[in-house]
Amino acid sequence: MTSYSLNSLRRRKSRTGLTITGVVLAIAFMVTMFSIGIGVTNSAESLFEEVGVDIFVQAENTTFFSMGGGFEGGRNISKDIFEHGLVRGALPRYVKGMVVSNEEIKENLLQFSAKAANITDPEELEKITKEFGKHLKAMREKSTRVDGIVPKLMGEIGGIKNEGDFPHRDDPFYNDGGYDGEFTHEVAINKAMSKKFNLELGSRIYLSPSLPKSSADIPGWYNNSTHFEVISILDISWEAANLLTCYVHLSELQFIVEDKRDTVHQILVDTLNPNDANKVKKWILDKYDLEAFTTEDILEEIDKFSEVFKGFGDAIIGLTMFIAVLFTATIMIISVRERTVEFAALRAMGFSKKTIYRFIVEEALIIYVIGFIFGLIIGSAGAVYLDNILVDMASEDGSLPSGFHFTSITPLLIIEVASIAVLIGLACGLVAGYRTIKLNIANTLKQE
Amino acid sequence: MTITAVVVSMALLLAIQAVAEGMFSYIYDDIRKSKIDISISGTEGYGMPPAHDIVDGHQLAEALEDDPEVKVAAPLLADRLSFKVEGRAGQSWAQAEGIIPDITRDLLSKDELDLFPKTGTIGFNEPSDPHYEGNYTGPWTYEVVIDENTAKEFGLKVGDPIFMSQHAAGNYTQFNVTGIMKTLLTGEGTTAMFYIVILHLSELQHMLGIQDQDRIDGISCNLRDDIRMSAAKVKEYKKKLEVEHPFLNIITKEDRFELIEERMSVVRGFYIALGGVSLLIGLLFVMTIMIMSVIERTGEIGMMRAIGLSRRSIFRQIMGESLLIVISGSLIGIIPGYALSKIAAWWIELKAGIAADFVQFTPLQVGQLFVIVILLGTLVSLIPSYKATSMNITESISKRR
Repeated sequence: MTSYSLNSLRRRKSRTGLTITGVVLAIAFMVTMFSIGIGVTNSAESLFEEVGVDIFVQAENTTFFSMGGGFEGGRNISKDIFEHGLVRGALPRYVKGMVVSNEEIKENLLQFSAKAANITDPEELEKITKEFGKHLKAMREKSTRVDGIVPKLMGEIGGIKNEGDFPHRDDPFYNDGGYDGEFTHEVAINKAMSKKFNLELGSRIYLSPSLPKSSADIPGWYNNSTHFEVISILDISWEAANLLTCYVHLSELQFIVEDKRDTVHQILVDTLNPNDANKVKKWILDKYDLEAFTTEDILEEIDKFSEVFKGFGDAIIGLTMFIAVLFTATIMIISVRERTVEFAALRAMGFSKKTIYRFIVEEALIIYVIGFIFGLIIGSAGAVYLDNILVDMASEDGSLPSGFHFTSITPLLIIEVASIAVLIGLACGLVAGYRTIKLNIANTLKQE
Repeated sequence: MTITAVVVSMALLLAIQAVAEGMFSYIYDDIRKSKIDISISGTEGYGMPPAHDIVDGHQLAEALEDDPEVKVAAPLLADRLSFKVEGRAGQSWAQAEGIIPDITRDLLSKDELDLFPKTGTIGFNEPSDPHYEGNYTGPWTYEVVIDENTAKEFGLKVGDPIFMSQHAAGNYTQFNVTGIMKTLLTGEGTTAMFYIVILHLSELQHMLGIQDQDRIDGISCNLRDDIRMSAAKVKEYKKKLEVEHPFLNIITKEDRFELIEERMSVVRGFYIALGGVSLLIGLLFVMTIMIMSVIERTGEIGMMRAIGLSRRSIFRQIMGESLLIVISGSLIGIIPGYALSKIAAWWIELKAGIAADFVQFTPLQVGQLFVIVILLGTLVSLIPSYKATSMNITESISKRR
């Protein structure tokens, strides 16, 4: 039977070829579009899995993506959560963007400052500014994200390979509610920082919340900034490849930014068993006026944000598929109409109505199966291409974690698209074949 | 059926274009109308709270205003503040902006001014920044202008108190609402919890504890008319600023346009690809139907050739039929295209919470797209038309028999 359907398609090569091309395009488009949503969700899920943080605690009435200005007493709350029987780690985190310099920039900028001090001619000054432009740009272009943490409360945050570690696991500068203990000057930096500022273990960096005012202010800026010594270089798989981040002791950062009310922005909670995340979340919410987000909550938030795009995507896929269905159904209907006599002859030879109906449905299914196979290949290639473009674009501004993909082809997606293709093929075949049931053999043959 | 396919693909393309081009032309227009010729900012930092890393903000703005090239130099500070309202349990977070009202007013375009209250100076009773006087020992005004959504959500009106703090569970300071401004946010969807409060600059600095160094995020400058009208003069002034302030990032209007253009070209590529697939399928449909029609009419075409009709006439006839489908489909598609763009605007408003006035459906956009579709339609019609003209007369007639 299938050979009959194949033969009849083969007999009308050009129309079959064009119809299949239309279906291939529609299926490829559907595969690429579906792969976007799945890619973002899968990447987010695997990122959370890799990080190993099960609950993110933030100030009341914040969403995960707008964490607000933080909450006070963060250290005590972290310790309290840390002592919960189901928790392995409760890391308080204070986040601040800061201006950074290394020794090389310092040396050059001090030279620049000294030279500029003696120049009054604007053209000369422009020349000097250009000469030291690389170092000026390195300092003013991007701030570094500084995280204040307490290393011993970290638990098992995953995806981090470290060279070196914090010698002080506690936060010695915070002394009985005061900021007057031992200032360790320890900093762990990520790979991007190490690369951009040419830093290795033992290197010194300078951090300050503000930029120098002018060339004359450079020596003063270095005197007022705080120096840190690199004690660890971190390779963090879930961080954006060119995002500059460094980690210092919590109280030392709070002290530098003059926020001495033990404020934190987030507490990262690592539970012993991720299945207990909701239990611990409830315990936190019952005890404190804070927000707590499990990975499920965050994925829901991502979904909510992407709803507007998903709606557009679904509408575009739907309309494109509608055109493809119109295309195939019309061609099939014309094709059946053209072969009325052929079908009447087949009936006269003893083929049942059901068999002829099956021939036509099969033809439509063959078109969609071929369309699905080629569409899947082309759509997958399209998804990879699109992913490369989007990753390149997002990586440019450093906002994308390495290993993040916007598109993903999963077995579920393939099954979903295959089911849609078969269903549509079946529907087109059924609509087109319906005419043959009502065929009057004698009249049709007589007319011919 | 064929016309329906063209109608749907044309409508889809038009709607996608209305959203994408509309959004960019809105931004483009906004920059064009803006009085900000030069934006001065500190370091850029992605995914982190603002650094507020420009020091001596008030002084720097004053010094810039003393430049003969500059008409207005308005300092700006932005951060998040926690706020509470009487009769409502708990606190919420607002996007806080610190400004000097009379200076900022001079920097606003007509459209922007329309968003602010007409009372006082853009809603503030005190036009200057008195708390800054005497190294932040001047009087507090405790004035705040809030956005319509915040007013609606918390039942606030002019004269009502609102309590603000840098941190949740911190010390809250009472402010009084002196004005309510409009925004494009509808208070629905993803921007439902986005609240805006505008304060006097020095008071926000004090709330954030950064008054010691008079730290701000940036300064927006409006240049003298003869300077701003000449791109070369603006560029020259930018160069001068870069030498005078080597630690600041200076961005001109031209730079902003370039950035928009760059992004637009990527977005344009995407939406053409999105709508292009459906159009391609629609046109393939037209081509297939026309080829089938030519095959069906082989004998008829042979006869026409036999009675003296030239190949050119037949080519013209098939091409005309094909183009008729494309043109009528494209024309009819304009109506559902308009409806779809309205649905898209409604969807953005519902889900993103942004009043999508930017969705544009202009005759120019429709015309451009129409011409492109006709050109592509002509291209696909060439194949069936060629097929019809390349037939052998004898064979065609014998097939008819």
